[in-house]
Amino acid sequence: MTQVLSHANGAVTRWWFAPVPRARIAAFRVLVYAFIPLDVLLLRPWGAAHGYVEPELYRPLLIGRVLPLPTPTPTLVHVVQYGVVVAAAIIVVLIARDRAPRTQAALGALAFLLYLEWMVISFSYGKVDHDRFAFLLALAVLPTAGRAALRDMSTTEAGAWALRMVQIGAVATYFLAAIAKVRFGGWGWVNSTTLVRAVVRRGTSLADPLLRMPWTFQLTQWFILMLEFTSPVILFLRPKFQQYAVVFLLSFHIATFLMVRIIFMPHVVCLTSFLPLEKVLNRSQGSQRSRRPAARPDYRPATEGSLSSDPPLA
Amino acid sequence: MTGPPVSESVHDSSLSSSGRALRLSVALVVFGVLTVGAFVANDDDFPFGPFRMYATSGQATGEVAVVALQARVGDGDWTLVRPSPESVGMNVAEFEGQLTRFEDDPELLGAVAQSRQRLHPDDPPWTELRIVLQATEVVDRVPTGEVNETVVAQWAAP
Repeated sequence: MTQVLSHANGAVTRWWFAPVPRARIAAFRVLVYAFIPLDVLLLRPWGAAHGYVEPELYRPLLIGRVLPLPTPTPTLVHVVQYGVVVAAAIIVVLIARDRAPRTQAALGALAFLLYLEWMVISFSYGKVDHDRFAFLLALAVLPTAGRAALRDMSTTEAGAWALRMVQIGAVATYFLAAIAKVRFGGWGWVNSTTLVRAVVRRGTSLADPLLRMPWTFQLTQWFILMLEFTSPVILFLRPKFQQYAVVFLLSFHIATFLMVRIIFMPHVVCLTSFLPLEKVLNRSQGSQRSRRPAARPDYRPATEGSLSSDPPLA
Repeated sequence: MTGPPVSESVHDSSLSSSGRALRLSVALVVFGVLTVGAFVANDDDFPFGPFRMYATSGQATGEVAVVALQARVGDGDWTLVRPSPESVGMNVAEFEGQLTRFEDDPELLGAVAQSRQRLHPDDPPWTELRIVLQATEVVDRVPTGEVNETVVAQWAAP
């Protein structure tokens, strides 16, 4: 009995803490923090407009009432919006130069709090989006993953846990979305006109012709619900098949975007937590190094220092 | 607690057993609350509410309704205004989320007109504003193209 327990214990520990290269953590951090300016300035800058909306229309979420967070004003929304952008930008620069890990962690915690407040500002006027739980989770856990540089192939357990959290968050988004469909739409959701409705409201020229063949939407709804209910399988696949699964999910999100102009970008960013991101940088670096000495016979290792302090993403 | 997780993992690749226990507990709480939330919580409980994007079932025959605004200045014509962050600071979905409030208290549209004035101080202020539902008929899953408009809330400047 105790043997069985310790065996199970070992399996749980391995699943959660199997070490990953620090370079993967660093690369994932770059993706996450670089996405923040894109998100709050370009893709979803709407929270900023809420600063100009009359306070009577503010319907604070539970978290906003409990803490209690202030009613948005023009100053507040812009401080939060640009504050999170500046914090994220500094983090990306520090990661690229592998400097000040503690400052990175502190700024990461600040970015999480500011982004959370940005969400409260954005979602307290009658509409809550459901595409960024995993992203919020990533911001919460990444500061706990310790020092990580883009070319550091040594491994980390704290980083493994952080990635697992994001992966589960991403998969939970699918699985619990299926639960919500059954809860709110009933099992009849698969045969309902939910997608027809979505296409009538915001369909593209690609989707509109399908309105004359409503069975295509019905079939797609069966497919979506089955995909969402089976999504937890991804967590237990071998890495190679996880990568195939991610490519498949990305195609699903791109197809959705082409049909109804909806793409859950923060969620898509989190799907990359399944990928061996460290290989992108370290493969190109390897080939660069092997080519350089041949092209330049006078190549001296002394230049190595300046090479590695270059921003690796440039 | 063994202190901030950052310091314990800066130099050491493996976690202490308390570091692991703490992380497993956090995971249990976060995903436990999230799972319970999916069954019993609502949007108000963000970030632990249900992921209810496109979760409702539409009938095969019925109406697909979209909220729009109509505004006018003085005796001018009613003009169609698509709710957006740029026009009035709130989008269509946000108006739908607060629709019952507008139905119960049409005076709230005064706040919308004021928000629009703060966003566009150089434009002449709206003196009348109303919310209309533009409903597209759907028969047996196929939209007929017929659109019915109903006014659900109306406001005039005092």
